Amino acid sequence: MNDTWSDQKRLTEGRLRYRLYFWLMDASLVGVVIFFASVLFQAATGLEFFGLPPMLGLVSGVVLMALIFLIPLILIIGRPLRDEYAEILWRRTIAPLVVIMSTSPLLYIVIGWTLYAAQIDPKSSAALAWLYEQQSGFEAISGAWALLNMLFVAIFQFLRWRDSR
Amino acid sequence: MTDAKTPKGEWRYRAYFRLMDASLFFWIVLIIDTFVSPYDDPDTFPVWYAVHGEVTIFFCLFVSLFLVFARFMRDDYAEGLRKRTFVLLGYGAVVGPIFINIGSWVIYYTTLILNEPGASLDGTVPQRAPDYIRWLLVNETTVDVVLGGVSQVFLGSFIAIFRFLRWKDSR
Repeated sequence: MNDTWSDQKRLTEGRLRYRLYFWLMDASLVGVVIFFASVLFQAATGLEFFGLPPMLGLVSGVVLMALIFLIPLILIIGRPLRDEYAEILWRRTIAPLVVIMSTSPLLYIVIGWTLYAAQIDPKSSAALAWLYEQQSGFEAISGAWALLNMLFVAIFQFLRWRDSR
Repeated sequence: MTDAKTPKGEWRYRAYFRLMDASLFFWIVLIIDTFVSPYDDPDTFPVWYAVHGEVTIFFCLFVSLFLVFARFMRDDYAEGLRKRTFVLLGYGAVVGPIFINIGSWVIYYTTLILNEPGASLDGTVPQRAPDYIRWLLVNETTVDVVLGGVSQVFLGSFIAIFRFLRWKDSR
């Protein structure tokens, strides 16, 4: 009797844990979407964080950072949070992720060569100038890391959505 | 490293492992070359060094990339190894940068405190900081270089982890 009860309890906890994984994943996706929307908004209007007042902008910024930095980190490392299906999805997500991260510079090289052949200075175009902005190594590593986290969430959710159809 | 089990089967399966070995060799050459390069100025390269550079880039960039994609050259064992490599790469890609960043800040503040006791810890880069710390903290790198670096790290780790897992299997 006691055993059954504790089994039942463990099972329920497990379910909660596994459901939590997908909830966090959804929350993170919302964060990623808002982040890209704010980047586009800023590119279009020049206003940061949708032109929110400073205090509100700061708070929403912190929440957003948690959604796109911290939670994906937990989602990628947190093996105990994943049930078997999530683990398989995780593995299927990593494959395109690694491929994208290792191919992206080739894309850059091709763009660079094309511009060179067309005798265009890439720094003159706003769409490409960001490639040549000066950064510190710390910012660069953090940026690439954030990109990886967000790509992970996006690909995972895409595969999950495709499975559910 | 020499005693790895030679996979039976078609030549392309064996070629995959040979290419992998060659890539790893040139990755080691590249890393050594980064630290102890005999020549610095491209204008004064002797021919052999230029050729060595081209070959190294060919293996470290194009062959490594090809090996990531070349599904038709992997038998079941190699495909399994590829999957295990990707899992480790996935964890490493997320955990690695955290350690690099935290580690660099720790080194930075330690050097600052050791070199200049009583210095204000306001984030200014000390003049005597080692070069790799300067690179991390001063705006000296561009996004395109970073993208290239990210890909190089991924490709290099892919080759290294794959070879390591194969070596571990063969023991």
